[in-house]
Amino acid sequence: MQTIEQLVNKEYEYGFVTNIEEETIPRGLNEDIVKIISSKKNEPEWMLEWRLKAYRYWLTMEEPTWPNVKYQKIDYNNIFYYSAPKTKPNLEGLDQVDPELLKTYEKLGISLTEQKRLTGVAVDVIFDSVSVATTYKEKLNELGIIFCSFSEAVKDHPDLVKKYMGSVVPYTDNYFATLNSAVFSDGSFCYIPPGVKCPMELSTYFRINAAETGQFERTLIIADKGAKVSYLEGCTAPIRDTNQLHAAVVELIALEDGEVKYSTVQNWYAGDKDGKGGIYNFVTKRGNCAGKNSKISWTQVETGSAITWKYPSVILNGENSIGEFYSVAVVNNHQQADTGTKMIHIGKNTKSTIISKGISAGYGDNTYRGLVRIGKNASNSRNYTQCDSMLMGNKCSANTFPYIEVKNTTSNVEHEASTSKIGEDQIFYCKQRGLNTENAISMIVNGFAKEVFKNLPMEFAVEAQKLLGISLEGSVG
Amino acid sequence: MNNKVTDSLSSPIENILNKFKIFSENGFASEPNWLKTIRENSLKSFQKLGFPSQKNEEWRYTNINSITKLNFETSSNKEFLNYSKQSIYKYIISDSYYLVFVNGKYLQNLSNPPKEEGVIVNSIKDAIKLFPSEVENYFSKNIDLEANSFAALNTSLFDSGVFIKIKENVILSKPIELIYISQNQENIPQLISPRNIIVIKNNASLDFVEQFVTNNSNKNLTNIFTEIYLDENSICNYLKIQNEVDENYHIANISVSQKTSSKFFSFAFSAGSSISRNQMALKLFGENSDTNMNGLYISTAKQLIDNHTFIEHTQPNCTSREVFKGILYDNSHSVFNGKVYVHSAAQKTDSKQTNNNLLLSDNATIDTKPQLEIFADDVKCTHGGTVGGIDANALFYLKSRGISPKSAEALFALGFASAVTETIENLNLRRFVDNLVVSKLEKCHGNISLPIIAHYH
Repeated sequence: MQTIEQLVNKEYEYGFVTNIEEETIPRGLNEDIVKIISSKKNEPEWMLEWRLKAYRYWLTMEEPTWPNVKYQKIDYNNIFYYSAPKTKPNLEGLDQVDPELLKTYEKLGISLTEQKRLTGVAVDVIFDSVSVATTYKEKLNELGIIFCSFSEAVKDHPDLVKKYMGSVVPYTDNYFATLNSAVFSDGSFCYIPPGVKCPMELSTYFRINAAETGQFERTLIIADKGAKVSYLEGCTAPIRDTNQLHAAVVELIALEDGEVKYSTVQNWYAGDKDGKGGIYNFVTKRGNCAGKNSKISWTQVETGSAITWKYPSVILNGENSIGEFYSVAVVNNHQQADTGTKMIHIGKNTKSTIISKGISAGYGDNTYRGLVRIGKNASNSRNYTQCDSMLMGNKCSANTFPYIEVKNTTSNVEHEASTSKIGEDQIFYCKQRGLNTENAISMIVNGFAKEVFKNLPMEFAVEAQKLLGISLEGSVG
Repeated sequence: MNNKVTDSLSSPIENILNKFKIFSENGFASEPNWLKTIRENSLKSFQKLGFPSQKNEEWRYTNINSITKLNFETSSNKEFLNYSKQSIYKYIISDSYYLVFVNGKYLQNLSNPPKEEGVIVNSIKDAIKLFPSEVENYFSKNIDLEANSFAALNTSLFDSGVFIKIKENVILSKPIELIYISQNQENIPQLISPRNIIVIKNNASLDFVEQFVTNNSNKNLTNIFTEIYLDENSICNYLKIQNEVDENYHIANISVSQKTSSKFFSFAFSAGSSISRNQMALKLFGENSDTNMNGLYISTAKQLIDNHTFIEHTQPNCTSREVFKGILYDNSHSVFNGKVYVHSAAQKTDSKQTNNNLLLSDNATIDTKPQLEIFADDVKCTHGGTVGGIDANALFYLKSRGISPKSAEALFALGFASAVTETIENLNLRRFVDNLVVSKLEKCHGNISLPIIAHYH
């Protein structure tokens, strides 16, 4: 198995730093900082009020310690809470974007430039604390779709923001969501009007560039009655020795017959081989199937971050609503992941599916933690959960902590979990057919994760498969 | 003189501390020093931990507020004379040795202890006097008393229980049954703290039963701690029957240590008490050992039945199998929490865990948490959990054959239950449990009568 170890020992290829003039505010966190962030963004009074409410509440909270992850205590007063490239105000088109930035995204393979229009994905690009560009805005506008940065939405669509912000993840929700509510910098906002099926994939690309900053973005997606949207999220960060905090909040709302599909390929910098540096990815993602027959689907491929700690969840309020969670989480070296989902069945005939695939290598710790709760009135509800883990080497761990709470007799909940390794016989079988060991392993691992990949949009699926290969390099020996 | 007043004002925990003081000046004074130290340390642990609250992840679903409010009396030297062979007959499993305890006190005249060669059965207190170093070797060896408040409470206060040792190469011909009867003592809730130590030496074998029952309604708390040690190549079949009346409380810690090539089979039947909890912690210390941990719980009325199991694989080539099934009625609440932990050295571990629940009332709640923690790569570990009601098709099938809906449901429940009771190998034990299951289900389904289970070939 030597060959695998030698297999393209490719470094984290997105680890470069963009040399761009950035504007930051002083380190630390207090009411003034919250006010500065708000004023930097020219926010209306109500937004500042909300932030301050969240900040004051945050002061009363304690950092949770229950997850199965270990990290040094974060000094919240030693973080820059805002950092933005010094840009000209009011960007009209991409030609006004700093060429240095364009180059950065060119390097990351994100199509900002108009000539790459053919890829057919509308992108909102977040660089550190601000959104730098949103493509295809006009085209989407024609259909009545609002797709813009969160800051713009606060200014241009205050009614929608007021109505839905915090409706799924209230500012009192949890330590990191509350912190986010106080200091969130930017993010994406998306509203699909009734009956509209969004003709292209919408996408946000998050990039942390500045050192010692925290990234706190907020995404809000609303699918109105009968609307449909598929949304992609990607993330990268430079290689640095110190850990950086990323505490985002994502809220999805699907009204009657609405459908939101949210896919993430998370590839934050994971730290080096010895576990130095990397992103702390502490994210709150939650969807509300508010209307009848609505559907929310989370698909995530988690390969990056020093620590991943998130549970994309669905609250199934509407009758016949559907929640889905498909996840592949890979940990290598000293990465830690405590991830899973919550499916809260409240409405009748609600259905949820959870497919989670965990791959642990090196010294990685991988934990699936999920909750399925069937309320008393959620008659005829159904859940199917499958969590499979694969271990490579005996320095890593794979843990499964499902919580199942049922209060209804007509509902059915099934949970299955298994742990296995790549069998020598499996590799032998592949080699017999002319594959070399590394291809055999890549094939087996991809087969293991296939159920999840097939739920990703095409381009993402290809990238995810590649990523998986890279993340596991040198881990089988 | 003001004793009475202060007593009623003091908190239950202070009350326990007082009891300990009295005991350590009297009964415990003659005990060996090592035990005194452990008792004192355990008391300190308990003082520090207090009664667990729901903030403690291990107790997240188990609310024991009603226990913590009671000011318990600890078992006195009362004589229990109102028992006859007749009155305990129904608890005796046919063809077995049995020892009868009432509120922890041993009733010699009603018991039938084994007299076979190679078997030592003593009360734990006698064992401490007769062979203290042997008891010390097997005392609290596989439990963290600083983290387990009920085990710590038991260790600090225990004054009853048995020490059983099966010598090398001895295969006991009949099961040993411990019958614990909980009795109302002048309406004062009693804290009963038995401590059992079971040692099975190399190549020996034992069938061992603990049965908990009540003869009248009471609010006693049985806080038992049983330690089982299996030496190389030994076999233990352990059956636990928890069938106390609905008002009282039952907390049990069972810790099992297995050496090389040993086999352990357990079955826990829980149907009694208003709150009952089994905490089974099993550690596989030797290679090629085998564990089967099964159970059935049937909760009714406002009962809370909780089964917490923990299987730890520390050595390679061990197998563990776990099946727990539950049937829930009325406003009851059941909890299952099973954890399998595989250390990095425990390669080739083969582990399987299943928890199935039949929910038969919309007011009942099931919380289940099957968990895996795995640090070795060459392992086969699976777990599964299901919760559901009665399948409408199955019900229709039975009804179309002329069976009343009530009976059909009961039959369905019985089939569900007997799929796990049939794993009990000893036929006498299995029959005994099956009868309990049948009569419980008959009651739950409106006093119908169920056919006798006919799977004895």
